[in-house]
Amino acid sequence: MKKRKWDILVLVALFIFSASIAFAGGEQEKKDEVTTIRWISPWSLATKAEQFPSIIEDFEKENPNIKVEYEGGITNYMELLKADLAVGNAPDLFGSFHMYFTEFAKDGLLYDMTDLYNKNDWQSQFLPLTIEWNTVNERLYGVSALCFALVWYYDVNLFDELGIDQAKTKAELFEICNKLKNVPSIQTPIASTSSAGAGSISLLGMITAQTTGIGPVIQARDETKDYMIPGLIKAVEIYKELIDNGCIDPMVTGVSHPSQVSMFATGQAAIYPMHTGLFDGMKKTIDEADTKVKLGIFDTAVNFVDDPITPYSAGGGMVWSISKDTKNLDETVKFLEFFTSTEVQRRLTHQFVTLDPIANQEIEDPILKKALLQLEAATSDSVMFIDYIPSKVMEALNAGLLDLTSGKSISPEDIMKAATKAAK
Amino acid sequence: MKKANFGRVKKTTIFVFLAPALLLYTGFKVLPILGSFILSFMQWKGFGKISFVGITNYINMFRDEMVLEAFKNNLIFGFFSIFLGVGLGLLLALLLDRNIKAKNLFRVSIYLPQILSMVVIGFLWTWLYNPYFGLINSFFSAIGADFLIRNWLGDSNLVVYSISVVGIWRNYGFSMVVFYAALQNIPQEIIDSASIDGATEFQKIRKIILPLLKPIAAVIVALTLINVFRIFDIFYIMAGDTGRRVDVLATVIFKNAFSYNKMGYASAISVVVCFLTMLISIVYFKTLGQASTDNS
Repeated sequence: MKKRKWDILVLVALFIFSASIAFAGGEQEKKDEVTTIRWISPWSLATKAEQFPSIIEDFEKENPNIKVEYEGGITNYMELLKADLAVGNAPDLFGSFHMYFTEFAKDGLLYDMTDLYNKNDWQSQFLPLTIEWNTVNERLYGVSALCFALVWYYDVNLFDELGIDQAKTKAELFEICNKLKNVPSIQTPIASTSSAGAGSISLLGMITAQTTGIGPVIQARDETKDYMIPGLIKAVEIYKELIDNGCIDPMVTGVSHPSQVSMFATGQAAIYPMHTGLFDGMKKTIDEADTKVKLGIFDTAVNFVDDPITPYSAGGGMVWSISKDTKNLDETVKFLEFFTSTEVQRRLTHQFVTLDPIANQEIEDPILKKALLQLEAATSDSVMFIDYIPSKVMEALNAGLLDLTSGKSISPEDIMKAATKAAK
Repeated sequence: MKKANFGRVKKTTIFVFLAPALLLYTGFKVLPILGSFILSFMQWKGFGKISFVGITNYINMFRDEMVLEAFKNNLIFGFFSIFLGVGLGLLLALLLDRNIKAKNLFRVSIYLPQILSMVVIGFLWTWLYNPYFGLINSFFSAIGADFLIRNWLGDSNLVVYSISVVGIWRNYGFSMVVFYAALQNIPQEIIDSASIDGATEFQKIRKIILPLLKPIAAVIVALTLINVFRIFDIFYIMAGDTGRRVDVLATVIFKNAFSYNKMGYASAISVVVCFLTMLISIVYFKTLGQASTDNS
């Protein structure tokens, strides 16, 4: 009797299992009439991806047999994306940060978009900087999601109060910092040297763009693994001069990145070299702090050398790429072409106070307008140094800059030697 | 026949009820550990091709300055956690074992950090350690002790000790609670006899209480040591937030796996750390067994 009970249970379980397979198969057949594209990125619908549903809706109206499923705001996004790529379950279209984008391209995981660029004349639609940003081994593998320039944020009101002009040269910057040091509320004239290299490496990147450009850095990264590049050593020497001339207070090495933004917003630092991606957050922090600080950016770069390779440093941000293994290539390309059209990109620009990768942007904010001029003047050598070096090298560099700032006895050559060691 | 059938059915029933938990345990614990062990002999970025490299990862690990430095930081953290953390817990337990007012309030407030998440603690102490407006430097400045002001998280000579203090603050409550419970189990007659024999407080503590607490102290030290090699969050948050590269083994594993794209190498380090922790756990269980015997 007991054996019979077990037999019945097993039969029922088998029936339920078979039925569910049959129904699932039925559903799959229906879905095949419409092609579904899977699109993922770290941007959530509550923030940068807010406009995506309406953009997708407009696309699907024009293309009723293509459905776009967007998934954003994913925690540990890059780890999950890597896992998906590893098991062959890559999304059709996805965003990746530049250092990963380069690795994915080199490993043959991305669709080569060079022909797509030529077909759509994207070379002239996008800013020149972004073309370099999305190039790996002379082929194009992505489209920039947004752009940012490295700018000199400063407190306009304090500068006006002290009667000082923006710095255009290294000497002028030292002079300004000397005056700022005497202001009681100022803890450090320049806020820098902060979390995970965001601050110090960014500032260094603004200098390296002028002293070496990106070419030798790419060569070191991909071939020689040797970062004892004269232009890089020169850049660290200039960084040391900033410290020796009192532009960066040693104690600032113990301050976290959010705290440094807070220091600038509350008037404890007068100058903050950082990228324009921080612009919106910076404005909000200043408004909330309700202080005398008025946000501005220097009209031009500060020239640290007489004959800079390029005066500006900038970056192309997150990169949209198509998976090499996508089974819906035509549909994904169609959607990407729609998404990257000037009309759609302008919708995104107006929604967020940010810079876009397209040329001829219509920016309303006066500060971002200035940043856009700098972005448009950026060349392929201007691409942000921080995104072209391996994480381990960046950490070694940052540790060296922190030691330099906090007064330890370390030379620029020692710092670059440590970076080279980290690369091997 | 009936007896044999009943035995078979009983075994089958046991297996059926254990199967889901066993499947989950195998799937989420055993297989990943095995996978990690196999991966430790490979070179893999986490995507793309995998290649077999034998014991290269293990050899490189023992030459890697970053790993050796991280191990040193684990030991420093462990030293402070054991001697200061456990020692402070013991001292507080002894103090609280007296008739003092608001004893319960003290016990709760000392134990409170234990219930906070390490992430919250990391951010909280990053603010406390802020060199300009953090509470610690502000306090020193207010009492005229400017010479004590330091760059707690920015000075490479100080940062691992600054973070160790946070570890002590977080964990001494646990030691205090365990020691306090053990103190309640010491028979009062022994203490009273010692008092009658003329023993001083110090002698009672040294000759009677401490020896009786030895087994439980060994257990706490073993548990602390296990946690020392697992520590990740406060180092990742406090050191990472200010860009200062101060690593422990867990952060080295994390960085190699997810920042440097060296999954095989990270797996090799994690295998070694797992082995270390297993050794400590064996000592812990042996000591636990000894403590149970002594107590009974």
